[in-house]
Amino acid sequence: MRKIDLERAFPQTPTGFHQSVEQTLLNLKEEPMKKSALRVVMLAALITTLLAGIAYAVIQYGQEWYFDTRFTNFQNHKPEEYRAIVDGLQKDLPYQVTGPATELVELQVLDAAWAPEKSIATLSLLAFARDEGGYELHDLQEMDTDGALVGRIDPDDEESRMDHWLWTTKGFGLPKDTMIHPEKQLLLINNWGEIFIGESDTALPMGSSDSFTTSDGPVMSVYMFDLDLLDSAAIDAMIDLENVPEGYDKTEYNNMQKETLRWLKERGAKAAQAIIENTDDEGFLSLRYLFSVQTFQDNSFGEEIPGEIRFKVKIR
Amino acid sequence: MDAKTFSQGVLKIERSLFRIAYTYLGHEQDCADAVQDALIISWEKRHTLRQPQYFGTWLTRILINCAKQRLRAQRPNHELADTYPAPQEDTVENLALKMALENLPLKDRIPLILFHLDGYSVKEVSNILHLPQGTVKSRLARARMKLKEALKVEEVLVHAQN
Repeated sequence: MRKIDLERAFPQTPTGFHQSVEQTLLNLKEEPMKKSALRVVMLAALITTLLAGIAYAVIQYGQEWYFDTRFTNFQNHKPEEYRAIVDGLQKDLPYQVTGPATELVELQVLDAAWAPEKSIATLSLLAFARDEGGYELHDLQEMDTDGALVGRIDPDDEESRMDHWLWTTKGFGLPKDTMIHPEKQLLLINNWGEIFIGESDTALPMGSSDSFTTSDGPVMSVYMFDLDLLDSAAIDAMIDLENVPEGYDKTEYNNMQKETLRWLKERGAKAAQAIIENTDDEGFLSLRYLFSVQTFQDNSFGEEIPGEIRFKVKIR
Repeated sequence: MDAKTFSQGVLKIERSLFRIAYTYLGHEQDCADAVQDALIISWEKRHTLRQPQYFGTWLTRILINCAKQRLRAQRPNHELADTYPAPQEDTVENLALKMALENLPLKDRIPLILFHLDGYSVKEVSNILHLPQGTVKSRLARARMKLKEALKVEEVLVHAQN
């Protein structure tokens, strides 16, 4: 028997592909790449809406609701962090939403917590379709969650499909079958982003995020931030220089880990400095977040429409 | 991780990134765009990579997400077959292998490539694809069997050296 060399089935790496990679890496060196920064440029027609205090909020949503209904493990596994969050929840925070996306969705800051003693900060947002009679809003991550979407139908794979499927409380299938109100137009919000400090391109160090469509309709997003990543000593404790994984040269591995340490500390110091520079005399830290929405119809996505939300969280 | 270390890590697995993008998207420009998306996202999110030895699996996972995003954006009848480039050497044998590989369901083909070509372990493939290790093993076994049947030869696949 002889070895099948799968490599033979693939074409050579195209020159254009290699150039594209090199160019991307080159830009990376020249300036920090911010896809989101490109989106800011696209905000040509800013529509500014001051939403603070609008009596539209569905008050039952918030982090207390979230931890009690969706993420109930957290209070069991990290009870001290949980208490620090819920005991320190800040509500009615001032915020401002701008950008073309505001024509289609209303985004609200529900609540936030800043608990440096437990190295954690949290934020929750809620998004509604502005025209609830015309649009049904869902989180973009709820499309095609099963990985069976392919570019072309495979006759040998009965699961392969080219139609986009949407996950809702009605099940998983074609949007016309799973939308709660299929007569409406499907609108998707992309909440997969970072929270930037002030006007800088430095982000708060994200620990995790969760975004989902609630059974009542709004899309809720909850973000958790790891404040240890602002602290040089805490970063030291995260990186293990002693236990070298199998197959690694110790010196090479240590050099890599030291480089990671250096980078994490540099980034942490930058974020910590940005926090100082963007906190006002009353102790409110300015933050901003970029999101986008797009319609979906006839198995096709509409243009990505950007939006931005600016808000303040009390940190001292 | 600084830009230099990041770039070195990317260039080290550039071929692997191309193969994965190519397997999902086929078209050269789509592959380049998906990898560019993945590089930008991974650079922005590099702080989430705590252990540098997982750079390859981490970036591959991000690339797969980006490739799927691009698939989502494509029109339903987007035809890729004509755009698939020929193998490195356009021999009958290589074309048969290419065809056999492309006839595998994507869900079996990706683990096969990650394991047998890119040298990831079953555990790493399971992490990249967010699948249980048992599922990865069964998909690998099925893919190998289908490939051997399609090629009608007594050949074996060996695990690539990472």
